[in-house]
Amino acid sequence: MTKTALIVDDSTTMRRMIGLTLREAGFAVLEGANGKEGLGQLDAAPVDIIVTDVHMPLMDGLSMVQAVRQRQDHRFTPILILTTEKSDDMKQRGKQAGASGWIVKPFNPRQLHEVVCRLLRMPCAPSGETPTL
Amino acid sequence: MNLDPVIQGFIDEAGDLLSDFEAALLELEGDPGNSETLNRIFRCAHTIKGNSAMLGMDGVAGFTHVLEDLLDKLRKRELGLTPPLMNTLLRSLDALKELLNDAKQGKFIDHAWHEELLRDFRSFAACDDVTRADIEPQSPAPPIAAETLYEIYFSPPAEVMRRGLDPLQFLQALADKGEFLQVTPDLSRIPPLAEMKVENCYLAWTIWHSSKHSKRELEGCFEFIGDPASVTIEALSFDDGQSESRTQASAPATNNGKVESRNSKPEVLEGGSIRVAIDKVDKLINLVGELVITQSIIAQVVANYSAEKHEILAEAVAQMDRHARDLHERVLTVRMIPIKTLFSRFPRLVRDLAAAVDKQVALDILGEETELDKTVIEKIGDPLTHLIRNAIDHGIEPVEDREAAGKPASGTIRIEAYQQGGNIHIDIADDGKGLDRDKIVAKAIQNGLVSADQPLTDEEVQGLIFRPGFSTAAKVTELSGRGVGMDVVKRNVETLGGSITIQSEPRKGTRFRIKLPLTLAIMDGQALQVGEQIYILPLVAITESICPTRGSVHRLTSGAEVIMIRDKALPLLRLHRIFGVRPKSEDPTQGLVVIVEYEGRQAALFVDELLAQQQVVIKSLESNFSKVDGVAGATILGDGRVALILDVPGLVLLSKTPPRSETAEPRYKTTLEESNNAMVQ
Repeated sequence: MTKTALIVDDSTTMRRMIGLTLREAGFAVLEGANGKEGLGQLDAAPVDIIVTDVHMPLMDGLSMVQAVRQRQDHRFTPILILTTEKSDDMKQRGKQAGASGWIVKPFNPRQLHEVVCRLLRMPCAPSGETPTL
Repeated sequence: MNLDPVIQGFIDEAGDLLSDFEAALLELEGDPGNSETLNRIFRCAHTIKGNSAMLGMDGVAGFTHVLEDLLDKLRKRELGLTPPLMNTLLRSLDALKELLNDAKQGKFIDHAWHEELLRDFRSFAACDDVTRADIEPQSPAPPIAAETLYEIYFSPPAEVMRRGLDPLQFLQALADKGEFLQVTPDLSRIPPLAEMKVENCYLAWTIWHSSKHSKRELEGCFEFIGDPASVTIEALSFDDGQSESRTQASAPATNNGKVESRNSKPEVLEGGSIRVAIDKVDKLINLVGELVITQSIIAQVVANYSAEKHEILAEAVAQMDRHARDLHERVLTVRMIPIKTLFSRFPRLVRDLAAAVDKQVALDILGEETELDKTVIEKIGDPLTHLIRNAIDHGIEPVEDREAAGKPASGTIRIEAYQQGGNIHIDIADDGKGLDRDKIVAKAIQNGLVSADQPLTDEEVQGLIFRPGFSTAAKVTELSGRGVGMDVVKRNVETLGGSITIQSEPRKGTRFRIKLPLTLAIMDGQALQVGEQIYILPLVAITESICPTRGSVHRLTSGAEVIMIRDKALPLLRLHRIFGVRPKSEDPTQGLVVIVEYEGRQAALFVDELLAQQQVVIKSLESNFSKVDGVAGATILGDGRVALILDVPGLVLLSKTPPRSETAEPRYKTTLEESNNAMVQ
């Protein structure tokens, strides 16, 4: 069954890039440009996994994660936050907000794909050539 | 995965972000405490950094990284926004633009200012030296050969599932990295049933695991647990330390290999792209849909045609005609982008220029949503910049002068774009001292542009500043004295098919008005017939058409002909002579004259006949053939014939050049047959 991923990032480039990666992995993709839009998308379709940026206008990623966890239907949905902060601080804050995990930017699409599969306990397609970035 | 569209998208996005960055930075100057603005700036840098690093633009990423650290300090109020810091930030913006430009072409140039700026950043922020390696992606170290036996104890935190995590996924990840020899569940944490919460995890496991991976890599499997206390990994065999060091040694090698392949990746992205609003595209798709429907109706009618179906057919054709025209119009709007993209450069420009001449200047921008052809926007930037430069340098007075004249200390430059009819107007007005008539006249006399005794209207005086080689600046100032005069501005505007006018009032200010066509690709034309040929004249250039009366045409001793129209003598141009075609009649009273105007100068064109008015798509003659004076381009008529589009400024100029005798060769031997061939090629 096709899984749906929600990508929330204020950068079009980043959304495109993640969208491209996940679509190639067979996901249906929903997008939001900030936390508010992300929350809005949750009503659009059943979402299986959320990938979100932290710094965004209107509503940041951490606030969104907290809001998502408040919803009955998404208490256990895996949420990945994208962060450039390598410091443990942001990871801990993400964890406290209820995020499942994090990916440090810059990442390679293959890494993202693997992490998403792992969170959803799906088999990850056999590792072909790693796309060069 | 082809990343080119992503890279192109990123370049576009980064351009927008930098404009926003700049705007926010300038706002911040007026309102240094605004934390929302600070956040906006930070986000811009942050996004550019993240994306550029992912796309392998190391130069951009490295630079933004340091910039971001600085902005973070600013945001956290660890640093105040001082004027020198402001300047450094603005300079860094320019630097980023340049870096992005380089990156677009797949190169990374170590500009001298680059290092210098980074040094500045560090001195401001006293932030740590950031090496390029910081932004490298962590590539997984290759597995090492020797198997190690590990004992792993994993007791996930009770709330692990409430973060959307399944404890088993960690075991799975571990299993992928080796072989489980034995797994023993630890049930000691399970509480009595009454106290048990279904959403908590009480289980723990002890695993004997045989793996070729290092301890650190196995720890990586549990990264998302985010709590080192939940996992203990102990190597039972003795070669652990050795394998660690081997892992470390091999890692940099892969890193290097990676860097190289990344650097060779970005290609030159020429040709440019344009972003189109979705609703525009939707409308196009709609229209194409309509067209397809009418087309199928027509196909059906034609397939079983009978005379009584004529009406249906005629109606369908009329409908298709409407749709085609609509489609044409809409497709042209795809090239239209808001002039905001250009105007957003100006606040910075004004700020820097005003500071350089020590004047106070405020900038008002209106109508930045006005849409213009992309090409026009690209080409109008320099003329506008020049006008703003001029306004600040010559128009706006120094603060003391303004106060003495009872004006507010700060001058205002107002830029406004709006649509009027088929034209876009851009006004640039300042509230400075206005044009100095006496100074202009004196200068013009000195430069030999006019004679001392020549009476001049205000309009003519103002027109003088557009003449080549005219500059009134008493001294060459840093801003304006660059050898570029208003004549260049004027020429640039005219190349775009536009015009520029000036209105000035002493002590009140000056206003330049640039009038531009909505688009370069299409225009309203008037078809003219001369002999067998059809020419197109831009409708805007025509003032009137008349049948000359007998005796209104006079020949001057120079050989030139003039036509008297309402007591005004206008130069008469016989199109058939200019283009070397045989007219129906050589006698002006047997044909028509079309009066065209260009910059207040009129000329009369003698033609055989006026035909229909029509919209024509302009095709460049130069790209297919060669530049011909008096001809602006060509178009293809409804019946497939090629018609030349007349260039009114060129024709008016021709009317001023010494005329030839009647027996002389036509000015152009070029026949339309030739240009027809050229167009076909």
